[in-house]
Amino acid sequence: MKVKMTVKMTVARAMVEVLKSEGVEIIFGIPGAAIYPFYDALYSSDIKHVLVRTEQAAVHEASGYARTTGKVGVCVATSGPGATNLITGIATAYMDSVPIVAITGQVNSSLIGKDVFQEVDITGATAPFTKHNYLVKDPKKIVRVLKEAFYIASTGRRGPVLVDVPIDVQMQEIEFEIPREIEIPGYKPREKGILYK
Amino acid sequence: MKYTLSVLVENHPGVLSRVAGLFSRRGFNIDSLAVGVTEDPAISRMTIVVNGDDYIVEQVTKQLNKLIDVIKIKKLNPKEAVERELALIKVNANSQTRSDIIQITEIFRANIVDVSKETLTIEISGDED
Amino acid sequence: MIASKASEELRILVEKQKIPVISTLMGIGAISTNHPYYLGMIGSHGQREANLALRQADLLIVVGARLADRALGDTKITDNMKIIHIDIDPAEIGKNVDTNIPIVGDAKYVLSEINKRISEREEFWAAEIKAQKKILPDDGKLHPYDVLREISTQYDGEYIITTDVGQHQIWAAHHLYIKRPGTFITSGGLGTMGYGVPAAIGAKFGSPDDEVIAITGDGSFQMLMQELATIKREQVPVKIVLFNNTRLGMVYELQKRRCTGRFIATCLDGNPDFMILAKAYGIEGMRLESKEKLKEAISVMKSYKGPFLLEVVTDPDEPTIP
Repeated sequence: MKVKMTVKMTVARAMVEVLKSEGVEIIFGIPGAAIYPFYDALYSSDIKHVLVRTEQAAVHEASGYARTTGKVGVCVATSGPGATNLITGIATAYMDSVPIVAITGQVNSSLIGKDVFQEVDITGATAPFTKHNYLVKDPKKIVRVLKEAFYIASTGRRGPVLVDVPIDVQMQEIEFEIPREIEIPGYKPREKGILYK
Repeated sequence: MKYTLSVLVENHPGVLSRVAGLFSRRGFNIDSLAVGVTEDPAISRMTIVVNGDDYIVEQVTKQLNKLIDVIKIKKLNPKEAVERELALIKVNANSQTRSDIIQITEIFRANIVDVSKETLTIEISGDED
Repeated sequence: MIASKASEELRILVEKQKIPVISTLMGIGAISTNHPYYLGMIGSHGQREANLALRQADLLIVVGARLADRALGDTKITDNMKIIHIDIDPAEIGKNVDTNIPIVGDAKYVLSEINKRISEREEFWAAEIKAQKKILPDDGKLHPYDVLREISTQYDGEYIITTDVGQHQIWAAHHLYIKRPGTFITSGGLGTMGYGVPAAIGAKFGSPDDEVIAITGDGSFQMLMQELATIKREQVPVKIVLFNNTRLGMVYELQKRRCTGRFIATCLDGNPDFMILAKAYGIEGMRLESKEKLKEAISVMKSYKGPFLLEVVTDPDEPTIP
């Protein structure tokens, strides 16, 4: 009889677990109110966090890291101005096809769209220069979303992917399970050469 | 030249905004855009009429394909596809003009779909002209 | 192409068929810059030999390059030139240049398949062009290219270079010896000033055993110089070579040429004393002002075990391309 092994944990901790499963050893960022649960989960992990002095530098540092290691660079910022400060860095990575996953905190999901403190539509703002981005409203989707983000960033023509997670979602409890395969109907990067026309 | 693209997309919030954003920042001209859900509730179909030459349409198709939410794009061949325009026209119709309007409507094989004291609503469909 | 790790396949192809190699800014390092068939960078800020070869070629094999506005510069792709465009992104093919043979796929895979099918060729047709390479004047003044060549010599290409954006970026692209692919890290697409120092920090974390040198200018450096604090906090031993001409160099040169010297907003007279700034962050530094001290300065920078800022004072009228 097969027993399904899942663990119950917060979304914030699940995010850290996914980063670990992707082989992430270092992330660059600046904490803030909207991303504090993620940082709290980070505290108990082995992942090294480099505190930068402005979020734009966090993306550039993740970019330099990605370009020398071939791995996906990871940067973190809080909502509002933290997220918008990432924009120049993300656009830079987009134009140079560098694999980056940018994680941003977002205000409480019930407050989105109401112009609250440090709120900004970062997924709308970064749509022109991210390979893809996500606003995670359903806590149960976080693991799949993050896994997809790494997959999209690191395959085909590499590029930045942004994942925006509202603070209440970060604090929700979910059953943590890593999906066995990632299947995105709209994304099938071609590796073998074909004569194209 | 006008080209019609039939695009299957994932039915997620924000997909329409992404497609519109793509068109605006790459400078493509959309003549019309209609979107609705298909028989699979997870997938929507967008029908987009683009104005441009071969190069534009090729770029539009390739850039649309890059969007993760876009699943499949089909360029409709004007010779094989059936194209129709539908118009709903509301006209003033008092007791004097009413019968004339009804006659004209019958001649053009249009349908009267709504009646009120002052107006008639006429539905007509056909080719672009 | 560098992301695909296809350098070996490229080398086999060009050596067998004796094909001259030219590169865009982002492609530098795909083949060693010392390779006999490498002619240099093309484009509006490229090297003469590379642009000459581009114009004379009748077949252009493009591997992973977008060929956007700066790469082509004034070069018009004529009907005599046939183009094979290999790229992983189908949207790039046909976007900027018309292609005769478009191939969508991963460069490493495509090039290795091509290599299985090619024969040997005898002559290297671009030998004459390569021989015409300009010799730079030795006039006793300290030129940026002297510094970059000295770095290339003393390190023998054993480094990872990051650059910022501006005149120094082009000097670095033209004069640094890039031995291995992926060791020339620059913001080529967007051209973001401020990229150099944080990218160097990230690169050092990624390759702690490699020497990481950030080439920057006083304009770019000041955009994200607060990262000196990150260097201090994490004790990241990056080397920073700061070309200080107290100008926004690229734009200053543009104003000199196109606006007949009506300079506006390109003079950086509010610059701090960079040596005191470095010291404020506990970072070792040295200022280089004359050619005589050049060898010693690079040697000091190389042997120092810790973060180091080498400020090189240069002439504001130093042209991007001599």
